[in-house]
Amino acid sequence: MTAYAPPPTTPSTEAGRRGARVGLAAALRIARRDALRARGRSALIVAMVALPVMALAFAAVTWRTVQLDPDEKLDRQLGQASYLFLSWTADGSPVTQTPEGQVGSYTATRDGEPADIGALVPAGARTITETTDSVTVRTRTGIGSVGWTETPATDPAMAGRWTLDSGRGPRATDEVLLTPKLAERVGAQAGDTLTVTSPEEEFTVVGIAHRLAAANAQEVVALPGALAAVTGNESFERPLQSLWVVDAPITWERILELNQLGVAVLSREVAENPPPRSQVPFYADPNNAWFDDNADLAFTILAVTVVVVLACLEVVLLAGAAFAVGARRQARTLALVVAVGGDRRDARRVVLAGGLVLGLVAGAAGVVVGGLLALGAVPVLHRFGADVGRYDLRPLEVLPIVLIGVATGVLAAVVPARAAARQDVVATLAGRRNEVQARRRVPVIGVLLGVLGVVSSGIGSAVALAAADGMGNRTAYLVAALIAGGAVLAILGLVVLSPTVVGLAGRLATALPLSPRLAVRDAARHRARTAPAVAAVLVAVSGSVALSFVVQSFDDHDRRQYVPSLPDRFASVGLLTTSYGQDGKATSRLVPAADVERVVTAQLPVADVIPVTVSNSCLADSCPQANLTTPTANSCPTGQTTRDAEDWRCRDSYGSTRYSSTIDAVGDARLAERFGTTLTEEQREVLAGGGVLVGWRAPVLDGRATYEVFGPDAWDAGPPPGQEATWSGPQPDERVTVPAAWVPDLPFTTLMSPTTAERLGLDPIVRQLGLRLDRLPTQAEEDAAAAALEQFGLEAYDLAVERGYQSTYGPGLLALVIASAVITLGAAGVATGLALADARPDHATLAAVGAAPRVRRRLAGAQALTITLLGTVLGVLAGLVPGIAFVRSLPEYDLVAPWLSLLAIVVVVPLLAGAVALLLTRGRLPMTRREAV
Amino acid sequence: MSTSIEPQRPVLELRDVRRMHGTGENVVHALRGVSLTVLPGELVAVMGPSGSGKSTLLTIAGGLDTPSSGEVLVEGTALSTLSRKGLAALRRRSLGYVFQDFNLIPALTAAENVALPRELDGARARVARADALAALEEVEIAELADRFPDDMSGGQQQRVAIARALVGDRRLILADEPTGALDSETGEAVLRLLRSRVDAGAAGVLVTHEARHAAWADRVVFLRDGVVVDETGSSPGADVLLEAGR
Repeated sequence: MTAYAPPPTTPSTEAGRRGARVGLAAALRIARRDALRARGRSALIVAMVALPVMALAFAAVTWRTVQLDPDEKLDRQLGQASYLFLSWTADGSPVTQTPEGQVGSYTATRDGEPADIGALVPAGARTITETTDSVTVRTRTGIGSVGWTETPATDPAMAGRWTLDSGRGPRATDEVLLTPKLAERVGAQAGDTLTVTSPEEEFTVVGIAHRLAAANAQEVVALPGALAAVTGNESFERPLQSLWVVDAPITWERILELNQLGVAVLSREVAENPPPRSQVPFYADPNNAWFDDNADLAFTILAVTVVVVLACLEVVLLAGAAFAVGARRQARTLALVVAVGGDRRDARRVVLAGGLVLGLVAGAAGVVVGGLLALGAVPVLHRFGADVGRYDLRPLEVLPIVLIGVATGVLAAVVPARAAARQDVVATLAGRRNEVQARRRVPVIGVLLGVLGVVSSGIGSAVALAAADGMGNRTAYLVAALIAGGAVLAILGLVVLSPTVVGLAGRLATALPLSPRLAVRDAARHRARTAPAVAAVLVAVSGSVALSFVVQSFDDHDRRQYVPSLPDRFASVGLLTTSYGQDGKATSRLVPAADVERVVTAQLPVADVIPVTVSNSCLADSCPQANLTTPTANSCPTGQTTRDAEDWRCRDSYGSTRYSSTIDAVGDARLAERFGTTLTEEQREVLAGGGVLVGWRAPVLDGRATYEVFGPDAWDAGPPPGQEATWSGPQPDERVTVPAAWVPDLPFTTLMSPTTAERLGLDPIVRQLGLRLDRLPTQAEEDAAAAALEQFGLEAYDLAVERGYQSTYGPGLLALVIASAVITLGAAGVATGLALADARPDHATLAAVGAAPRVRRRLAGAQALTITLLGTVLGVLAGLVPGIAFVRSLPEYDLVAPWLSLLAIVVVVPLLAGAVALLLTRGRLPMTRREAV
Repeated sequence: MSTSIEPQRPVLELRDVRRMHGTGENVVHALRGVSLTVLPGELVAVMGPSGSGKSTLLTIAGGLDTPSSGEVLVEGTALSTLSRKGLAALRRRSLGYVFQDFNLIPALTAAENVALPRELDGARARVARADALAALEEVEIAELADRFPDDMSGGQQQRVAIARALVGDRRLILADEPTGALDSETGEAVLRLLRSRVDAGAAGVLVTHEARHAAWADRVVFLRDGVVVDETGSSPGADVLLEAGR
């Protein structure tokens, strides 16, 4: 018997394999040449695919760059020192820490002493200290409070933490460095004088230096003990904040010993060579479990995935339309490929190879440009004060981004490739119109995806509501995953359904006038090109709509939550100003009301100046106090684990009045009326009868309210020994019950009659001017008034103008509409251009039957209108799902439809697209009939 | 076949029409001084080999192309005096094209295709549709009014195209190889239809390269290299002079 031998490989199989290889090479060659020949179209596709790739690469590299490497972090904290005493507990309670310096949670015992850091420094080791304080300095425009840091910033051991930009380090206590931002604000350079106004001293600026970790800080940097030495006042000695030990290594064992004393230490050596996890008590403590939670990372990955998937889908759809143009232009080449013996797979492969070639170029170009942009962003980030590390481009991280570009290119080519493979070769070669009819299929997958998406979002919303009171991180992330996943599914479902919807629209076109009828029918006939454009609009719009719902609901929430400081179109100026003497003690004084009145009436459109007498302040160090009490019957019932949102007693807190200014005014009914509040006869009587009007409900029971009255020194004594933990305040000197009424729109916290103030032992003063304005002042007027008030020592915040709720969401909503409009116009442009190219024979026919040239323009306009309208309507539907689900998952937010945005997206943008197409299309019909064979 | 006796105003008149493409050494003379007159009730066949200028003659006659020199008159109006808009209006109101490959707009139904010139002319949709149905009636396919071109045979499509060329009160049909894409039997039927429309009072120019189709015509004009080299058939009016190419 002969041994079994495998049969020889059949020649046909081998030839087939070689054929496939050759086919791929040929396809790539054709694709490459074709890409080079149609440079404009290639550039368009490359740009479209490269854009998201670039954004991704930029984000990835910038993120990596901003994320400090471990050694960069150590430099910023340690400089060149061996270790740093990071923190020490106030009572000496033991702490746990990671080798990298993360300090764990600990329980304070309240009965110990903090560790003496100086005693813990090894004998003979050199140390560096840092203390911080704040001082007031003279700036270019006035005075300002800035940081005061005392540390030898230019010591070589601090290199990496501090960087000297110019000049030299201080050598004497009256020499200082300024941070760049402060130097700018003060207008000082090395050699200039820095005037400190509180305490009053002058210093010589010897250089500019910045701390990498806080490049934007406004700090004066002086030698340790400088302020105390210059002023000769020891009260300027500040407690030690940080202490570095230079050239004295420390072991993990020693750090663990120090932890027992409540001291945490950051050591370069230990951080770079950490002990095994088993030797780190921090990780064993369940209180530190939060530190290891990967849920944050999972959430970030989810968010990034959703954004990347939608961005790529958008590009696939937009570029898909462009590939469809290419495939149509290539039709003859593809037919020839088949005619010379290729099969349909080869034709498909040529188009796919185009996607591969362009995707590769786009991926590479996107990463390069994104990487370069990130490099360019480093100095910009620096300028904005961000702490940026070394430029950090990691090839292993950007390679997948290139692959996303390639995948996007290939995916965009899939549908056009299949259409190209289905074309009628004979008809194409003969130059006849060759349209592949879209097949009608029941869109089961689309419906299924859409339903799944809605259900998933709904479940996410329901889970959030069910757990509203105590949603843990993991539940929150589950909710986010369900809603975001549901959103993606719903959008994908509608994308899959879009050809069907386009087809349906075609059937409903009969009643339309000629141009729109032709446009809609044409769109329906060429679903392969219309549907991707419609879907691209859909995806862009859905994102905008979902976010617009969220933003509008947030806006509504903020509007409802907004508490005005005063009634509308009123302003107020505080008259009390506080300054600090050389001893650091605060002195208050009143600015004369007449001076302020003169200034504000000159600067602002003032109709009435209302002096407000206030009972709850005085010029002395401490003032007598009278606090309203809340009767038990008006308190939130105790024992409830969740607060009953329906019960006003639980909703209102002390002083939760309609207006936010906390003024206990003293006066008559006329005072309230001048602020626009009309009192009832009953309320007037309360006031006149020695009572008090209250802006919130809780203090008033049966027409009376009770004050607890404290003398000026009541709080000075503090808690009796041994009761520190349970002490809630001193006993009142007396309790006074007065007639009271609740006035919901009272412009003050309370309004009491002068007799009541006297009865309570208070010492009212005119502390504020209320201003009734003819109109809202411009910001410039307000700034000018604030600047004019500075001459009296008043600060900008002493002037308050009530402008009502000012939405900060407007620009965000507008940006969302613009973003979706740009993509919508782009998609409409691509699809309309394609439709015009395809419809050339029809245009020739129209010319032959006597259509005026403008008909072509009208057709183009109608095409753009059709595509955008279908896309935006579907997009709004798709955007409703996540938008509603997300807002519904937040119990404190009401769902508010962004009607203006929706109107803009569904009506204005399509009309704009139509108008643009109408205007940009050449109004000439082809005047020669097409070639017949 | 025409029974006309007294002189009538020509529906179409070409006077010494020349058409050149390109310039300098590359200049191509598509037509070199062609004159032709077509009267109401007359069907003129234009024959000639490929590249002889047949189709150019037809596009110039309908105002889709303009002659380099010479004059074209449709129902007495010189096309050179008309603006682009005026030419379009002329094509809507005075003449109709029939092409070899039908040139129906696939997105419109048969009735909508036929109504197109009327709709473009500003007629109300209902009026335009009524006109279209009447035209379809005349070409005997009224029952196909609501079908799309893709759902019709070639012969049916060409009937729709003829109906479109005649809708309203247009009296000049310019037919460019109308049977080229049809089998011979259907082609004959289409030509019979064309003949009957001309007998009903229209004027027709039929470009063809098949002699048997030319037999349907009252006159046959032969073109070669842009020049009329021969003409056959009776000339009903004394003012019809065919100038031989120079």
